[in-house]
Amino acid sequence: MNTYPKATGNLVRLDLADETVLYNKETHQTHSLNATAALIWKHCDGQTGFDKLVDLLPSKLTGTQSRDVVEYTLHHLANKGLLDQASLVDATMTRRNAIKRAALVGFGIALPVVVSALAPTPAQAASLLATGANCTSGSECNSGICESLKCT
Amino acid sequence: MDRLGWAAGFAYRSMGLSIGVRVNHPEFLPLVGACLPPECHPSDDSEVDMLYSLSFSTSQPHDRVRLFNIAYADGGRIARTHVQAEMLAAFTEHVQLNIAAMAKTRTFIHAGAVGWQGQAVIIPASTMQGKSTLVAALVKAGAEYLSDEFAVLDDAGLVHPYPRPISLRCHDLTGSKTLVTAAELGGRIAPKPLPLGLVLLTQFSDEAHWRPRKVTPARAVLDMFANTVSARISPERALQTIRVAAEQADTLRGSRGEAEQVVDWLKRHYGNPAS
Repeated sequence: MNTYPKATGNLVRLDLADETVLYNKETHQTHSLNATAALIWKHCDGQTGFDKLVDLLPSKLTGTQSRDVVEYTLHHLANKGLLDQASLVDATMTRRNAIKRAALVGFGIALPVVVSALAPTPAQAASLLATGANCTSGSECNSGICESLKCT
Repeated sequence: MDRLGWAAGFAYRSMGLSIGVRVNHPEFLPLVGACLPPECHPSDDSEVDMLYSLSFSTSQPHDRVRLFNIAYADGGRIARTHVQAEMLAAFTEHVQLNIAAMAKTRTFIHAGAVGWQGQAVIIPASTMQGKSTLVAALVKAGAEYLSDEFAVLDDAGLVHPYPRPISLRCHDLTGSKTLVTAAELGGRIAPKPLPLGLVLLTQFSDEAHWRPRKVTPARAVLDMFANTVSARISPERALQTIRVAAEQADTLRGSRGEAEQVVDWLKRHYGNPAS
């Protein structure tokens, strides 16, 4: 497979043991990568080819299984916006993912998992506004009622 | 706005930020001072990071023309109301949120926080998840009170007291709030910062039973960051602080029923709060 996946720029990266947390400054999405996803993502430097990524996985997997894991993981990472799509030149990368995910069970490694959350604005990360405060919708108000852009 | 005739003002510092306040009548200054959030100290800064301007109405109820109480943050209006207390509440919340978002020496996580056996237990959650109710139950059970709104972390992962009165929602149709102090619940405020020992990711659900599961450090960081006020403003710094905290604490996730379930569980697994 002629693919040299490359991580997208503008990500803040935090490594915790074998896991990784990524924050995208443009989309404000935060992603938690488990060990398998993190291992592959860390090597997506635009220089490491698909076959080398396959070699990173535990040797107890067969060649086909390893390729399936890497293919699924790259697809998963790309869907989350963590890979430069232009580097994924192989069209087969997006096929049969659901089937492959199911087929990974029993391989003896953790399924690649990426969990995402949206980082809040300051106002979203606080309790609701008091009566009299300026607001834009009832969801911001303690009372739940926004009248003329003011909590009532 | 500078031409509106501001009669008095003062500056204060909080967590590396300098904030100025000016009012149209000097007699209201003490009232404004009493509304400042915890950890605000007077300063003689001549330049400030943010300037609040509060115009108090001196209209009497029988006046034919009643002036509004109006509060501004820098150039923007944050409250306009006939009720003075409403303007002051809006001012307090705005200052608090600004400090939480811009603080240079602390990271604010929207969370309840108490001290249990010399370690901080924090409960990050969005609003209306039962955070304050759980904090109140823990304080009643003997936990030291840190905050019902923000877990305030320093770079070493210590959780600092941020003791506002606990804001409990009334169980009626209005959803209004009542404020109670830790002392009124028979508890006390933690006298010093505490190392983070436990993170509880939980929300109230009518029929749930508290059976928490441990989550990995990366998932703990993800959930804490999703409740961090400065997440979009200074993500690098916030993530580093949360990382320190997540690595030193256990993080548990689960839905809970009544708050007493969690209190009893903590007593069973960690012993009584002050022992």
